[in-house]
Amino acid sequence: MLRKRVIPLIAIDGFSVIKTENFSVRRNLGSPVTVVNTYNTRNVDELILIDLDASKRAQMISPALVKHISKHCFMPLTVGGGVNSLEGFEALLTAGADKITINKSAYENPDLIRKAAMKFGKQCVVVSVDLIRGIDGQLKLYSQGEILEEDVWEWLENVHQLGAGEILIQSVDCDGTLAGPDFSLIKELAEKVSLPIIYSGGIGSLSDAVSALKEDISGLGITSLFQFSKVTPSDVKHEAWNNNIAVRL
Amino acid sequence: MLAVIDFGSNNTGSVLNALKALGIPNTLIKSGPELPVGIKGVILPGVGHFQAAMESLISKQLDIAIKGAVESEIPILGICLGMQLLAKTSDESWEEQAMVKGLGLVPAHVRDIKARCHNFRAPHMGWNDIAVADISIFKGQKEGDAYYFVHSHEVLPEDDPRLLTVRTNDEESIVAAYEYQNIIGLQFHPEKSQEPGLRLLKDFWVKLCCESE
Repeated sequence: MLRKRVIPLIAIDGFSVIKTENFSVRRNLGSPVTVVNTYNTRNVDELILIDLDASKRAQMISPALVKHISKHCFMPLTVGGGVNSLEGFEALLTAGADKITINKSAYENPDLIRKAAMKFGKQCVVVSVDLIRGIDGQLKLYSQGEILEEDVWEWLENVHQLGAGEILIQSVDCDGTLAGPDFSLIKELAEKVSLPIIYSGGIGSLSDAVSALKEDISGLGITSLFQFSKVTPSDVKHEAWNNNIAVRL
Repeated sequence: MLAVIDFGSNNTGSVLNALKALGIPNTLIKSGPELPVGIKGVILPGVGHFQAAMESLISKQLDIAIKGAVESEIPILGICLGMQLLAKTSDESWEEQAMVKGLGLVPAHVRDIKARCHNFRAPHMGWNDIAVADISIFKGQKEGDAYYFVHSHEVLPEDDPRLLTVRTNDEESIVAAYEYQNIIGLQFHPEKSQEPGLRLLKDFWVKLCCESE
């Protein structure tokens, strides 16, 4: 039976691991290699590593860093940050990534999704979409500090048609708050999106994680809970297992 | 020595890392038409798009090298796209409705999972377990072992009694592995499946490549 995945998300600023709150306030948490190694010993299902500042530096997440990490990490690895070309996809896949995630470049050049899917296969194209609720509670697309006009569900359908293999959704409102995920967002995603979905944002406790995993999502991205508390990915999976959710122990 | 086929963008790095950790001597083969002397086994890893991969293999004469290995009864291990490339045809093509020819070494065809499995959230991404397997290298498998799958197309076997298949443990199950004469195909990534996966790679080398002499 296909297991639901519990996925630590690691954000870096090019050099150090950072943790954001509502996509703005940042805390510095040290070397990416050290953080990854900790997860390596914990038998995690998968890791997502994103360089949040790569686009701003007009660069891509470092293939050398990805190569270094994948030499020691035998778990599936999704990486992203400033990837905006097929050459970028190729360099990161060669360096050891299994899947590449794109966010800003998907808006700027949606055809990249299609071309990457045709060259590398759709299973390695993850489109990352950040969502925020407007004043009226309506879901909006969020990119580089701005709310975008395009309809969320039209964008997600477009991305699907272009050839994305998986969607990574991050809730800006819940990010870094440990105050619980956006459950109505999770439910709406499960209903309207037919691709595998990874949801991330706000998981603050074992019970948050279990409730989120009970919905029809493929994976749950967790960051603050693992970085600022003693809860481990294994704790989350055991709790999920005890609540009859199919996870890999 | 184990030959690892490298046709360009097929992520040989992860496989090489795993072989290194297991202490299995290996060499990268980037072009054919012949394999070097002394090769006891071949791994065809694969990440990517079927048509792109076939064009790459053929342009580097690696298709000839792989076919030669099969003729010489050297054991072959196809991983993910690699196990699909060994089949006869695939619908993962750049043209709508067109079929691409594979290496034709295994009686099977590759098709988009969504064409057959309508309740499936495709691509098939994540950890899944398999039904009990009567395939040589799975003899050391423990119950509950899960493997990492990441693919959008599946292998559909022909009705050939020489082709043994193992399926995932799901209502809409898909082929997780096959064995055909001296060819093993794994749909999942053993090099990413931690202990159960590494055990399979080791068994391929020790039981099929070394003991077959």
